[in-house]
Amino acid sequence: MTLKSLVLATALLLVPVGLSAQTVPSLMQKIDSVMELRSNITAKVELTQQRVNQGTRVIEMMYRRRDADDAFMIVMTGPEVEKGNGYLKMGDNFWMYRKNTRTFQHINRDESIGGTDASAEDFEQKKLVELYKPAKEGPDAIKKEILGKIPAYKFEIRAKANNVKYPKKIYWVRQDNGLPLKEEAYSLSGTLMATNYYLSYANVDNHYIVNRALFIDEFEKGNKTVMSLSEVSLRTIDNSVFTKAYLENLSK
Amino acid sequence: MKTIFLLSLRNLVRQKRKNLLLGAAIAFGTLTLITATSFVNGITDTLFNRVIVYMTGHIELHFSENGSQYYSINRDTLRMKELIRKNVTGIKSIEENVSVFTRGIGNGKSDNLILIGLAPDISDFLTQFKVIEGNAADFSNPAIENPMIISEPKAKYLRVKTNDLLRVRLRTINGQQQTAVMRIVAIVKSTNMFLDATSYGRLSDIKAIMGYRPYETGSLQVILNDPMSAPIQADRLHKALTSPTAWIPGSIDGATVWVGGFKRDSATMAQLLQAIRVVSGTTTLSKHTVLVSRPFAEAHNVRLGSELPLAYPARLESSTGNLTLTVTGIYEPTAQDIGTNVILAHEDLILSDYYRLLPKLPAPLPKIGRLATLLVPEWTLLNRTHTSEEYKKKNQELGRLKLKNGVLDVRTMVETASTILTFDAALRIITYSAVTLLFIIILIGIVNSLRMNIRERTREIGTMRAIGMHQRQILSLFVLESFFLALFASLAGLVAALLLMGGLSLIPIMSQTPLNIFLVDHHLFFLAQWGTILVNLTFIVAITVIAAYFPARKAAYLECADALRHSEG
Repeated sequence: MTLKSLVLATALLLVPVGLSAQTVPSLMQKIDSVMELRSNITAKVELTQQRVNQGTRVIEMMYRRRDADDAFMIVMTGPEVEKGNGYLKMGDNFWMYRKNTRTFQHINRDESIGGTDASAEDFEQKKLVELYKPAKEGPDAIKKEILGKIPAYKFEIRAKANNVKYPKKIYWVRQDNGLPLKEEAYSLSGTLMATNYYLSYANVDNHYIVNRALFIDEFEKGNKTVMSLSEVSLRTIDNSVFTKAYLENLSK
Repeated sequence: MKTIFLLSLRNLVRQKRKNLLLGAAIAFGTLTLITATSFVNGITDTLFNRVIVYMTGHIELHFSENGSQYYSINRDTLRMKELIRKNVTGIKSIEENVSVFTRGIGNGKSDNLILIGLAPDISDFLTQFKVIEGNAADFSNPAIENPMIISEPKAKYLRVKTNDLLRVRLRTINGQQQTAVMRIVAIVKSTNMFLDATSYGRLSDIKAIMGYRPYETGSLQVILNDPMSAPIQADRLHKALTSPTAWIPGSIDGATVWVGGFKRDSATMAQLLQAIRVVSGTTTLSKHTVLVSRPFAEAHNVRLGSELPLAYPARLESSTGNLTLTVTGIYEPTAQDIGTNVILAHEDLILSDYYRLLPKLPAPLPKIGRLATLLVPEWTLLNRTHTSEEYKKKNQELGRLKLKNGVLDVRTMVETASTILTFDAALRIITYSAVTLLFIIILIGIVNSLRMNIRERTREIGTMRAIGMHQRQILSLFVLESFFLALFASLAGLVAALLLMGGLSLIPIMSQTPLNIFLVDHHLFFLAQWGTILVNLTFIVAITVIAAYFPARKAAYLECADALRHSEG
């Protein structure tokens, strides 16, 4: 759980408002509205991956994303072996750029990105309300809990179709503004696969952006990733950025 | 003739030392030739029947959906097997290839595992693997849930023993995260390093874990009696795999209707508007909206905006699919050959619902005339490729096209395992070149020795002629002598070769180089085929006889007096 969570994490961008209707669909819609950026974001991302028996690996990248036309670009800046490589998505097209061979290659939605366990399909824009439905109806569907010292709503959702990566998820969102605090993802057989903690949010131009998150691999105990965002900008990204030429020039 | 026969045998014994040396040379040539051909045959057999068979089969039918090459999904296994049996000859077996990359968690260690589904009868499997711990029979025991056979190196790395539980994580064919707990029933030692990374589960278990329904499977691999015929057989099979239209037939208001999806590209739309005329509504459809024909609309009181509930029985299970179609257009067929009960839908309807539950097709199929090429087929059949380069290009193009409907590819080992085949061919060329060079050197020695031998015996020929032997009888005597010499020597060479091969194959080779894939159970493998041996022996005897014939003929046809006068000085 690394780059996939980055998509969600960088999308958690909103002006906080109080939540009036406390139903699971409304909370899901809230997360969707947060995920749908409808704007631009540029950020420096550092992922510190800790793997059992493999030590720690730091992956650095520049991340640019524009939701209006479903475009994003990742340029790897570290480690040295990955430096200059990149990924570009424009609509349905997803390319991988390799600096050594100076070539672009179409990649499938199920291929790994940057040596992580995330794949291209994790970057597809999908709405939670389209993929999931509440696991329970009625007053029991949402529970109030204190997470740390923060009052949160806890709710469970189930996939509507059989092609959703995690068939079951449990969310904890802040009661005051709907910001996700914690997320659990389960496999088809009901095993807890991942727990994600959204540890802190930064206020950038009156928007909240998660700038520190912890992703725990629950299946392979001991594997975890810490994500940190810095140099965040919400300035409009020029059209020329989301092009092969730009990615190629950047990697020179 | 009998006298000539006996004389030739006597002469062989009489000239003991000379013939012994000459025979040794012939025997050494035979030994070299048979050992080399058996070694190359062994490598080829290992590649074709132990490596490629497990990798790709000799011919493979690969199905993909939604542009993903990660998994192969064959929705109707029995039908495809039937098509293969009808169109391919010399089939040894048709195997269901269901395999998945997993992450396995053992006792404090984790590693990547390739998990392969095996049919319950694992007797063939056990010819390739040696059980070193546990009981292979437990694999077929229905009381054991998710039994697993694991290779020795993986078991060691993951620190698991028999009866231990191994948790695995994988992705289902639908892209969902899935976990399973497997019980180790046997630890095996593979006869080939190539298979060291693999582990095995029951085919039915692996299919269920991966999300296949019982009648679905991954790719189908055809194993042939003659692997080299794979390209020709694949071409023939490819011709027979023309896709039918992906119809969803059903009943609306008591009438049988056929829902077909039309492709949305501009070229297809232009042709569609020549085949039909939209009399009301629009051809701009969303997923569950459709166009119905005017006669159908009139007969069933259907209007724009009408909702048509469509129920259709499944082809391979006892369930029913249900769709609600909203009419957004009414068309008039412009030709008589288009049935009035054809409902035209957005291709996405077919692409999502058709594969979810394959519909049962009642006979006869509807008339569709010019619409035939415009409707979404059940699968897109990729062109055949005959080299790895063509195959690579085809896959790159496929990645770019991102076809959403089912894609069917007929592949052979020639394209998919070309690296191994090229390696095999290179090794053959090197081996045969070295053997040919060695054999030519030996042959020159043999020819020269025969020539010298006959020349030395010219006065003897003169004596035989003087006591009344005919020229042809003398020629026959020498040719027979050479024949027997070559026959006995090559048989001795054969025995020596068999002993040498037996000895070499007993020496364990524990090297960890990639060349290990040519070893069987860490030993050299020689495949001595009697047909090849017979050809080799015939070749050696024939060459020796031909080598002896010309000097013998020259000597036999000398005048009797000249032969008697012949002097070596």
